[in-house]
Amino acid sequence: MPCFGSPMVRDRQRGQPADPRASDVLDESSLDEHMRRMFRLIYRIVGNVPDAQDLTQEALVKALTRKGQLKDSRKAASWLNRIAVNTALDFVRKRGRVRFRELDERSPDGTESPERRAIRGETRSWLEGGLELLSDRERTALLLRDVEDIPAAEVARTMGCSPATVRSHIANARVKFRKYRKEREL
Amino acid sequence: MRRKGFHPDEHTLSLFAGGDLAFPGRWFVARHVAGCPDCAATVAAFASARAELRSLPPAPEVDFRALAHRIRVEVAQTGGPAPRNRIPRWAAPVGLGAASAAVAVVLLLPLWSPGPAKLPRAAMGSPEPEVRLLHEGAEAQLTADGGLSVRSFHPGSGALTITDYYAP
Repeated sequence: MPCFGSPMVRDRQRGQPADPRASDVLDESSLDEHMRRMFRLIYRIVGNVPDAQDLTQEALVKALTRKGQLKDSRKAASWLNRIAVNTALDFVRKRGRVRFRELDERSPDGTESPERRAIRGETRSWLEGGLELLSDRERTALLLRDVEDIPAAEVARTMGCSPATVRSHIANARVKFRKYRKEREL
Repeated sequence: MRRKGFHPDEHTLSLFAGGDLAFPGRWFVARHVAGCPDCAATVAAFASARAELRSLPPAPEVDFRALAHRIRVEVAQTGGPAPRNRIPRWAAPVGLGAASAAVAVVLLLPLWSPGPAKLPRAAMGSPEPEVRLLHEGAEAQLTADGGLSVRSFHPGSGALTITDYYAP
C-alpha cells in the first residue's frame, strides 16, 4: 500500500495553471493561522518543541518559496498540512527515532501540585512509550485522527495516501496501542 | 441473522470504535456488537485507549511572532515571496551582459579617442581636419562628426585599407 511522495510533484505533473489567488491565501493575515496549525501537526509527529519550531520554519519557507505550485487557493490549508507532515516525517525518518522529551515540563496554568505533576508526567511517558512502538506513518495517522481529531479522509490528503491506506494505518496503530495497554494491565 | 462464532476482526472493531467505518460496514458491526458482549468489550477498550490518547497535553504555545519573523527573514534571503517585485530568471544573464558591454565601452573608448584637447578644435571649425601619422604608411584623421578614419597603405601589395570609427 504505497503512500505517494511529494504532492507538489504530482500537482505539477497535472499541468494545471497556478491559482492567482494563491498568494493572497498565504498573505500576512492568514500566515499566522497556518503557522500555528502546522506547528501543532509537526509537534505531534516529532514530539518536542525545539524540533517542531525548526521544522515549522523549514516547512513554511518551503511553501512560501513554492507557492506558485498551489493550484487551488481553497486547498491551501490541506496543501500546507501536507508540506508540514512530509517535512516532519522526513525529519523523523532521518533521525531514526522519535524523541518525545520536552525541555520544559511546566503545567499549563502553573498551579499544579508536585504530585499531580508527577502523575501527569508518568501518564504521558507511558502514552509516549506506546506511540514509540508504532511505525512513523501509523503514529502520524493515529495522532492526527485520535488526538487532533482530523477526519480520516483529511488525514489521507494530508499524508498523501489513499483513504484505505490511512484507515489501515489507523487500525494497525489502534490495535498495537491497545495491545500495549493490555500488557500494562496484566 | 447472526452466524455462530463469527466476529468482526480487531481492525474492523478499532475502526468502528473511532467512527471510521463507512456504511454498510458500520451498520453490520453495530448490529453485531449490540448482541456480542466480547466484541462490545473490545470496542469499549478501543474507545478507552482513544480517550487516553486524547489526554496528551495540547501543543504548547511558543513565541509565534518570533517564529514568523524568522520565516520572513529566511524567505527574504532565499528570494521567495513578493512575486510582483521579482526579477524574471531570464533577466539576470541579460542584465549581466548589458553591464559587461557598458563597462567594455567605457574602458575601450579612450584607446581610440583623440583626447579631449584636440577634439574641440576639430569640431570648432578648422576647415581641414588634422591628420596624424601613426607610423610609416598609416595615418589617422579626425572626421567632422567626431569619428576617426584610419588609412593604411601596404607597399608590397599596393593595397590601401581605410577603417572608419564612428563616435557613439
